[in-house]
Amino acid sequence: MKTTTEPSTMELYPLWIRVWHWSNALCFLVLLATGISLHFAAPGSALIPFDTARMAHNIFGILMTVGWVVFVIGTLTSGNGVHYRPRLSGLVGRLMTQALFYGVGIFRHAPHPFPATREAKFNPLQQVTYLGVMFGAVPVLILSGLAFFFHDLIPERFWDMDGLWIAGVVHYGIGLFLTVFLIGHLYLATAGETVFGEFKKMISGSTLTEEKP
Amino acid sequence: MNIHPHLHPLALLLGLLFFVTPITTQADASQNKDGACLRCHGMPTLSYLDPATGGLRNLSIDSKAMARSDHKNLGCRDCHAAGFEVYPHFEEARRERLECLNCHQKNTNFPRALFESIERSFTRSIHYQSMQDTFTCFSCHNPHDFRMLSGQTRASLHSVVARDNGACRHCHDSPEGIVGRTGRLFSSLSQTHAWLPETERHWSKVRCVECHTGGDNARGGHFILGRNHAVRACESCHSQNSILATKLYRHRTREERRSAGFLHSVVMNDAYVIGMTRNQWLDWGGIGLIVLTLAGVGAHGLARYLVARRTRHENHH
Repeated sequence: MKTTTEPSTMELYPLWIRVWHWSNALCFLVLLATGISLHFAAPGSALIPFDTARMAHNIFGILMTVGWVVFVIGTLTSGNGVHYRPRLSGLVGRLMTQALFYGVGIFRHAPHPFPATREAKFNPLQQVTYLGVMFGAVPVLILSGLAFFFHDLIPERFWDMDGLWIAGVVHYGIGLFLTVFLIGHLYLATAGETVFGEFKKMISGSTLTEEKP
Repeated sequence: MNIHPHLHPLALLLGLLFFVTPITTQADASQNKDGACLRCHGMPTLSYLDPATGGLRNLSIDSKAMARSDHKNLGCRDCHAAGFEVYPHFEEARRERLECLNCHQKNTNFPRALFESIERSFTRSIHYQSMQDTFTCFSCHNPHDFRMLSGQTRASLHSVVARDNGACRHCHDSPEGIVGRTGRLFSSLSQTHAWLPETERHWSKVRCVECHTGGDNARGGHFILGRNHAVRACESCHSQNSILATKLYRHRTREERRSAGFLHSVVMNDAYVIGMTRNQWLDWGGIGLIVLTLAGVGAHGLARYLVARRTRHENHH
């Protein structure tokens, strides 16, 4: 029996994702700088002045929220969501394989264990992390931030604590976690085929070509 | 009954009110050592039309608030002496002019320097400077429900704010109302505080005097500053060394530390204040986590660089 193969192409990072990604990155950096300035505010400090930081934090927080809604709608309607759904069967083993690559294989020039495919453009660690970040941490960050806009809806006291105090601590904790994620995300982006390859892909896009039977 | 020949103009009104006083009020009053006074003054609507001002003058006393106040052990006659011996009151009662310092300067329960300091601050305040003797302690403090901040319990902090700000807003919420006292028409509070974000929330959580007595507590709480000298820098409150710690929260924090330990006072905060309500363990934990992450990726990156350099070197040879 004669089989034919034809090349199949897929845009790994469509334009809308690239625009969202970089605008989200800008929002996060501004929110991080202003968030630090608000949290560690002190008279005469070198940080951004409190009133400026407050206004910028509010504006960029709203922009990031709008961006997140666009991302969720786009992901649900464009088929992008499939890349965020890890296959549960054998997931732990695949996570270990990917971790082993970052811990050992990368120093031995081993090939990437899970190269991008049409079905899964992220490796298992990326899948789990991005799923947790975009559908877990960011919504909680947004909700705890919105609590400061709609503080009248927050209970005055909750478990003998100020209701807004809980929102503040959650906001701080998630912001801290996402800052750690940002550092790891930036660093692992250099662990592609080349140091700057992944950055270029997210700027100019990347086409995946596969032989389709 | 001993009736003075110069009856107070209120006599008729009070006499009438006496007969229409509800039975329950009389019963409550009779249990009180000031029952005779509270029989009339315990009525919440007791007031009269003051011919001097043309406005209604409230003569009622909230006996429950009085019983909770710092003056709860005083009887009515301890302060209201001359002219109040009998009912109807004598004409001289109308000329009564009480001053806090009459008692407090002689009171050994208080350090003498405290009230001297208060008087010094008060006479430098914008109120006294602009209104002189027409502005007295009673313009802000109602002696019938007065409680010092240091005597407040945890649960009542919000009510302290509401009560103290109520004293300010009683005049300042009605710009026209203070024209007569100052000769100036004031802008409304919302106009003068338009720059302050979340204005109403600020007013419900902190007292006006936190900002209107300057950036430190050295001046004392009675040196009230006008708009041009009040605190406007957000960081004064929104920082770890917040002025609120030396003002509104100074007694609470001390009380909490004594009763529940330092950690409790940090974690179980009464109110969240951005920049001020910080937990040192969370802060150090966060900084440590960031440093560890940076160190981790730095070490990993350095190892990758060294491996790549060695590989290039080996390939070269």
